[in-house]
Amino acid sequence: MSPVSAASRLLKKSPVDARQGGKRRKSAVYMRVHEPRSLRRFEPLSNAAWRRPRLFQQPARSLLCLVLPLLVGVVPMAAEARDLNALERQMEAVIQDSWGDLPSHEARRLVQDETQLECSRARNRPGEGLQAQILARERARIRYPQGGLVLGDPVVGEQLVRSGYGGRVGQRRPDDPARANGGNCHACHLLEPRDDTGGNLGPSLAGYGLGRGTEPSAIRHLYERIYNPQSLNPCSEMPRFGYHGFLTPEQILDIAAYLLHPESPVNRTEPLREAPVDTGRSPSVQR
Amino acid sequence: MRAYFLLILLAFFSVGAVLAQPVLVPEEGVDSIAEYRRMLRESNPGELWVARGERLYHQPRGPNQVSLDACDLGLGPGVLEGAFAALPRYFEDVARVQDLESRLVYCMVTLQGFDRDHLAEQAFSTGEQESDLEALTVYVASRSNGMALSVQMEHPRELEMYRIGEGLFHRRSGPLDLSCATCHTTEGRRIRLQGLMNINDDLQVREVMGSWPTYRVSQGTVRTLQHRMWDCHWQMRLPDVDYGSDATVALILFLTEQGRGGIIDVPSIRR
Repeated sequence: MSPVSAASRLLKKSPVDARQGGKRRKSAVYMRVHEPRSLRRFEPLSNAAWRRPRLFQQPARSLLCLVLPLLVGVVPMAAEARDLNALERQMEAVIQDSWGDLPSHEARRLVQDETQLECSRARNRPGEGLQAQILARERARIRYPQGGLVLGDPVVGEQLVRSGYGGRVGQRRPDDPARANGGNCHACHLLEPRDDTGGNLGPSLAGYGLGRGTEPSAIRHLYERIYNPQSLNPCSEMPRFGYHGFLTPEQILDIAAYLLHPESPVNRTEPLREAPVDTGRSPSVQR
Repeated sequence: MRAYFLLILLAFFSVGAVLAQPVLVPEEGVDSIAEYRRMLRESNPGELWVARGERLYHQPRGPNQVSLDACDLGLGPGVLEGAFAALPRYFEDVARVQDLESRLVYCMVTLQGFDRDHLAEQAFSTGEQESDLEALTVYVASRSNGMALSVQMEHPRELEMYRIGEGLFHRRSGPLDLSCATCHTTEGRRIRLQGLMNINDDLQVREVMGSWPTYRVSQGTVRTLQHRMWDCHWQMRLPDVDYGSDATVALILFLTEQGRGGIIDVPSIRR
């Protein structure tokens, strides 16, 4: 066992989030021991609109959805009650026409939720009123892990930040849904001071844990930021990993461990080897 | 004999591609890729696809055993020079806007008697199966080499499709909340080390749009704009978008109009 994962196992026992009861934690720990992580599938989150086709929620409404298109002539794929402008209605008609017969779990992916629609309209620059609405809505969508907000396994977290696997669908090249999704954080963020191959769509996270510690408040903040970035930054371009069920709460805690753990390569800023002599330059370290 | 020689060349380039990749760092990476492209330009493996496309285009094929010489790509039956430079465009005979690939499918179905679904299924080559449409597309596009991208944008439906394409470009959806704009609206952005085109930079858009279809070194084949559209949607975790569908044509029309004036030079070479 590496020193990092040993340390993380110790850490798991310490800070428990105040909101979480001790009883539930026990069963989660039990699950942790007996279920191999690679086999663990995400559990459907009851409130995620993603996993719940709005169309079938209320019989009366869904009946209306079936009849209305016949009357209007255009199938409103986006939420039925929304006021779409003329262009948006044309876009929805084109989308309806451009994706053939899809199984419902795939068709659902093309339907925007309110936040996606509003952020698309605002080109990701929401006004003040909309910002407040989105913050409140997305905050209410956060669900916390059954085992409490305790750091997971940073070694698994490291695998998750590098893995771009999972979630692809279709006939041509689908991913295997039985394999765990990755977070692919590396695609958009620089993560380790000594590795400059990360993307730059998001801010650099090199040294992220320095000065943040592993206090419950730090874990909670990071958990919320990964679970639903729009609960902190409305129309953030970062995916709402937890809200969509793309990552499980446990996986998010693993990634949090990788980012916050003092021994993580993210937080080790010392150079890999001695600086070459006589160059007159200090070793380049990115923070 | 000549084909044999080209095959050896091809194998050589693929090995080069593999060797060239892991050592890249951001700034040098961009330069060395540019250098690599320059070196390959004169003996681009994609020329094999152009040659194959030319054969396929003019030879009697399909259940009806006719060539595509009667196909009207917008400038009249049989006119290939400059046709690609003005696509996508509105076609009266189908009453819709079509890009080069959806137009080729239309001709292959109506003239040659091919099955539409079968063509769409085999539109992208895989390890086992070579695509005729990739070869045909790059051949026709190459007949506009040296010309500027100049869609006509006169018919009301063309203007409508442009706006729809622009809207789709910014439309966020799917389990990762992505849109095209997430990656393609800011200067100097990268996914890992891969540079991303910025839609707001006219010069970049012209260069990119003038260079598709392209020989994709990482995939060992020529890829078309339709493949690019499918690939981006697939990566965004959206379902397979239909080959030649209105959503893809609208996006391609939007991108091509943004790239107006870009000089067509295909097949290019990209990662």
